[in-house]
Amino acid sequence: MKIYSVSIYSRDSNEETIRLVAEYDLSNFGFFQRSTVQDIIMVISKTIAERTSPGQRQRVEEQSYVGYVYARSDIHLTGVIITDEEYPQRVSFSVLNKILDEFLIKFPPNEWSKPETISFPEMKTYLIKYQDPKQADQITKVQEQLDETKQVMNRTIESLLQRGEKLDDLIDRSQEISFQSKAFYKQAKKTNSCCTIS
Amino acid sequence: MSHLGNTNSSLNVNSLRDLARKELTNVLDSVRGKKCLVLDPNISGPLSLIAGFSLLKEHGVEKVHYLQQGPLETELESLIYICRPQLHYMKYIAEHIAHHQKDASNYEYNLFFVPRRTMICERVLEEAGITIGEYHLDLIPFEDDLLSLELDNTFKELYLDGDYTSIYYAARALMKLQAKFGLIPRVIGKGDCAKHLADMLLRMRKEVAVDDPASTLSVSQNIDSLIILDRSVDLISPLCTQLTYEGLIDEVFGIRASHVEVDSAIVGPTSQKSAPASATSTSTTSQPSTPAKKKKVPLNSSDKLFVQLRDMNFAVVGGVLNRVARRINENYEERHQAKTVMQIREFINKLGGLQSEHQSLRTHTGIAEEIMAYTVTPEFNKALEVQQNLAAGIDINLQNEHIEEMIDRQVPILQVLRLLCLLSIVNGGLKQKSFEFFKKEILQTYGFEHLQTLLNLERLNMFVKQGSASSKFNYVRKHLQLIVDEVDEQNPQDISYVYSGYAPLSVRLIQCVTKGGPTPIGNPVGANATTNPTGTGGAAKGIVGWKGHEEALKMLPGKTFDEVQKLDEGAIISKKLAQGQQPRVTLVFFLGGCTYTEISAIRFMAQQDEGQREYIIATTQIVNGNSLLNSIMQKIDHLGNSAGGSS
Repeated sequence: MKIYSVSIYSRDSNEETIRLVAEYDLSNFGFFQRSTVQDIIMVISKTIAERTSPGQRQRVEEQSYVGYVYARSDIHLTGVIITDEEYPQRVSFSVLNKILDEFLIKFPPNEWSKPETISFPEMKTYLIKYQDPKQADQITKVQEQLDETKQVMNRTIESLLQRGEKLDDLIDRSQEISFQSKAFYKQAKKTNSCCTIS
Repeated sequence: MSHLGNTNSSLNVNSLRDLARKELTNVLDSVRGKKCLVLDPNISGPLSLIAGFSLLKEHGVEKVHYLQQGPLETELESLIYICRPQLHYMKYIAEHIAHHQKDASNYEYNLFFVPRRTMICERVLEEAGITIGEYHLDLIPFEDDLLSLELDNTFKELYLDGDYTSIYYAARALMKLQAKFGLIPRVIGKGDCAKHLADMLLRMRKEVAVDDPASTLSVSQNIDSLIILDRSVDLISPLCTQLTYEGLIDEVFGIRASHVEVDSAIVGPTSQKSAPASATSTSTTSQPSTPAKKKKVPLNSSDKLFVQLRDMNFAVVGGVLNRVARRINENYEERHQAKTVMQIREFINKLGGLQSEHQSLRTHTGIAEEIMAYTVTPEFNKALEVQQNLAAGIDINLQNEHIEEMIDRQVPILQVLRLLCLLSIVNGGLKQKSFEFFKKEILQTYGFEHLQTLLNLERLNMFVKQGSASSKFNYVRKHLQLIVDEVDEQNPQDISYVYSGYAPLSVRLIQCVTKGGPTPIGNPVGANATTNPTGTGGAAKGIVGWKGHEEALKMLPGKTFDEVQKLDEGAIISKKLAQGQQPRVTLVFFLGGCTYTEISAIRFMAQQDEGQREYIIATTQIVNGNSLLNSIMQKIDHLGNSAGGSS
């Protein structure tokens, strides 16, 4: 699974979508294909960003690429991630959230008018880091730990129950006891006592 | 030990144990520094119910030894001895001191008698330089409704030796109880020693009032009556084989201080049972067989499964064990349904409890199997048949023959004596010919030392020739409905389930006092109680007393009495109890011992009362037919072999 690109867009005064930052990781593609792929990705990203209204999240499939877009509702800021088909959706969105938040902290809206001046090297590091989705997603991480724990616990419980006398054995033995023990000898009814003929 | 105080009983029996524990720590702290504790073997059992080893360690006890013959090897220089005031213990202590003196070591001896010092013991130790004190340990709580003085041999002392020391101890214990819980307004009982005890109580109370006029005993807020019964009033109940689960454990294994010692194979995993296979090794030297390891199993209300089983008739125990096993299995199977972490966590929380239930199930299944092995034998059933017939007064001559057969087969003497005494008591003695016959048979089969045993039994009126009076027992049996034909072990309706058809005489007497008579079968008390339509419910009826049963009581040995302890001013009974605001408590004191079946029967009675009246049982010790007869049996050491005295 792979992230191909991460990019952030904004709207300028003319309602035009302008790209603020973009990073690419095209190492999967052959050397001669890379520029073509990059172009395709740029076009897809811009288109998706344009067509996403504020507060909306979308997932778009185009050929073999999957694009995740999140347009913030409070401000004209849209993030797009282009990944392959395997990359998990939830992770993509959480990466988007994270990147947008950090971008916003670092670059307030008044600096967006000049995209050339924006230098956001962190995005590159994130791109590289989150190639492994587990890194990004706390939830995934926890989920995996949980699954592992569950397995360990199940194994422990099983082994715990195996130790010592099997319950089935006890069920059988107690059944034996209850079959064998009849009620204790009781005084038979005195049929031959006080035979009064009234 | 933490199982006390869990039930909703109105009397806080826990406080007695705390008192005993505090006194123990005082005793231990009175000696400075690290010490070595030396206990007499009979007291270590009850003491372990009061305090654990960690408590002892906290107060400086490094090691614990048993008081026995032979020198005491220890490096610690402060020694604390805690023991009952008996002569042979004094001899051991004197030996220890003499031995240590030879070493010229400097030991410090402290001796605490339980429950009090006696002059004769002090005399023996006069020369030795020991500081002597007292540790007032008397009533030890076994359960929230069971207290015991754990005095061995009171039966023999009271009725054979005429030694009334235990009555004094009982009186002191009861005074202490009243100091804690308030004056008991009504003291009722039957039996000469019981009357003695009652008189002593009344006198002691007057003495307390004289000594310390400031201490006014106020009337008890819980207990409204004390019933004292002599063991000699009802010897039939201990002589019959107990048929409850706990009763049978006592008969087969013997329970000491709420613990039973069994082979660890019974309670451990089955892998131990296959061990013998490995013992068949071919080695030239003979392999000594390893003695079966024993394990001490606590039998108290901390084991929830045991609480269910203990008072049941043994016939239904197997069924209950089976149901519990299946239920635990179902609970274990739930683990397959646990999918989320939350569910798994819940299951794991339950797992601990399930595991201890599983262990308890394993233990009791093992114990029940052992008991089964004993109850299916023809000997057991024969003895039971004889008992039932004797108690019901049927086919007496036939029973004579059965007993004769048993002697011929050399059935253990205790079993035979139990039946012979039962025969004698129920029929008012044996016919001259039978008496002489059985005497001869016993001496020839079991040894001539039993001449003394039989003489003892004669003195106790347990094995006698028929006097002029015909059997009084018939009247008692009929009047108190001792024999009950329809007994449903699964759903008992009457206390007679504990012996599968015979209602313990002593408990019937208690029913007379508290309810007016034996409860009609199939008619629980609640149906007869007057219920107040305004909703205060059936107010607990007060003590009825012996009214209506005077004739029956005359047939039983010993004085009858009914006293009221009045306060100089103030009510005879606390207002709260009179208004029925809380359950009335009756304290039943068995002087000379009580059996587990009697305890179960009283518990059953309390259950039928539906919370209107609670019962607390106190006794000098817990007995069964074997321990009772053992205490008066003559034993001889035949050149190192012990005589055939023990069962």
